[in-house]
Amino acid sequence: MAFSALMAIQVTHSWCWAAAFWYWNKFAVRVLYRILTDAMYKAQRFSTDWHVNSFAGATVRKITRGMWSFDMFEDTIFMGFFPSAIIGIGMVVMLIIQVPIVGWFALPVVVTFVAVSIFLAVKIARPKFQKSAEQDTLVGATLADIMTAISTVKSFAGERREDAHFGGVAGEWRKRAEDAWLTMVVIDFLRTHIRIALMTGMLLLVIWLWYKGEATPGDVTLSITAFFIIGGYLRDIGRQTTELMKAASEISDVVGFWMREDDILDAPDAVPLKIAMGQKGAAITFDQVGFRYKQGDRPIYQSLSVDIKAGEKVALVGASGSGKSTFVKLIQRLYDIQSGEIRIDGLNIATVTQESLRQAIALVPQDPVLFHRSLAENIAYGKPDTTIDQVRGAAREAYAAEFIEGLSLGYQTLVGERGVKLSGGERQRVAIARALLADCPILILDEATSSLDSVSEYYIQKALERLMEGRTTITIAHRLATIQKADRILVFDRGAIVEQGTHTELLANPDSIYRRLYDIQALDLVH
Amino acid sequence: MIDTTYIPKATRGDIKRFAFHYWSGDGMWRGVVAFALLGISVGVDIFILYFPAGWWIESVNLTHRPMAVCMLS
Repeated sequence: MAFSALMAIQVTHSWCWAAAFWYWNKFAVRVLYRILTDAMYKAQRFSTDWHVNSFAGATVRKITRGMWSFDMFEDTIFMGFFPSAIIGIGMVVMLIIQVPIVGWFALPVVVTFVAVSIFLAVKIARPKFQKSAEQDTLVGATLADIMTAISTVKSFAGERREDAHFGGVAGEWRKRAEDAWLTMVVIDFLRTHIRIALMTGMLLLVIWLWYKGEATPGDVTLSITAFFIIGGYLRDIGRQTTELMKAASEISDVVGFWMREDDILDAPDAVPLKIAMGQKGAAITFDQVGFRYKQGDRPIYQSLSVDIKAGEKVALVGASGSGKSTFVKLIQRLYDIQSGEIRIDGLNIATVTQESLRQAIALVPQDPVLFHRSLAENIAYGKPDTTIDQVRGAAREAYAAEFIEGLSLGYQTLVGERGVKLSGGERQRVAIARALLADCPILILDEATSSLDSVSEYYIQKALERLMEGRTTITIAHRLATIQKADRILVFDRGAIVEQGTHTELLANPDSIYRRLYDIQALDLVH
Repeated sequence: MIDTTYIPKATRGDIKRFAFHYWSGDGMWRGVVAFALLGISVGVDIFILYFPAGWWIESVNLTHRPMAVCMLS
């Protein structure tokens, strides 16, 4: 009878245990999925400034480490703390009922042990694990930085220097990790001795009670069995507390992501940007715009005002740091301005949704970055629901079809990380095809033909002229020869538009900055 | 002006809020069921197996008592 009861209890235990883990795994995986996707959502929406000042490798490391640490965190609670707590409390309650003297002695023993474990983990282990986690982030970031620039490392035979540089970062991590792990060993050692002392006390007490005839053999057996069970779980609780603190230290970064508000927020009543139908492009107005970068020591613009008409082709000229690139970043609302207004077709861009604003702007950057996806996917990025025929058409117009169709996998060719398998000129042509397909009313060209050879440049210039038709175009120009056909050239100097006019008008003034820049470039060509 | 590169330092309270944020929601019932089942499973060991153990051991005659202790362990 007793044997049957024991077996029945064991079966109940096993069934409940298996079912508990079944539900737990479904729950835990769902939580991890949400953490991962939310962290990605947040990181994508952090400002350009944030990304410029953060290592991509570190961001990746923080997100993935945070997710797996949370897995450890909740598993420790579910599989460790929770059963340990039930057993600890249950055994003490049972002892109090069965053998009160021993039970009342065990209660403070367990409480003291748990309190000491928590204190050691929180005050001593956690700060050390936090330092180790910070250095681990730096290890990931450094590794990613070196791997991203591996072509430069190889071309300058910099492998030894990078080995030494990485060795320094990894060495610091080793020091901190060793410190944290060895601290864990010392804490475990201390806890073990506290536990042994407490268990010995309890054991002596029960033996003494039995010796005095105040405890039956059943009480003694029960107490000894309970001590071993409590002792085992106390040891586990000690280790779990440290594990929990370690996990909590490593979650910190992803919790920081979760807490951080987005820099650029849509207004609560933001509306989609609507460009008037049948109009060529969109009008852009800078109205007394004041702006400075967070880490800049001076304002970029004090009070910049300019009107760009719908369909106008405007070129921005000026020395590095004069405010040309900032101008196009502000149109895309990659940063919020501190004063004034930027309007597109009369609508303040701070009052429209960022998504609709950026969908109205196509950008061909100086050094286009592609996804490690097929060429077709990269070209269709600005218009994902496009057909392969439209992709081919855009590639032909951008003079990209020649090299794409020469590849064995054609439009299905994967381009490598950041498009590394393509030359600069090929990447540029893919970016132009992408902009052609996106068909946006506003086009931003950041010296889009800078990476092309002379022959390609000729054809690309023709393709760009077609692309510019019916669109407001802003070109950031470094080579003045490429912008002679612009409707208007804005000359920037220290955050202000100091000259404007057509190429001929500006050139006619012998004292103009434009004239000076033009002469310098013409001289360079002669030499 | 907003500090665009700043990531707040998470305190223990923030980590708790973070954990409860992700544990709550649509799928929370699975977690609750899992805890309940695990509680039953562990509770079975304690309250059913060990609670009557003392009495049971005493009810077994001395010859069989070592065997009973082994079974309990």
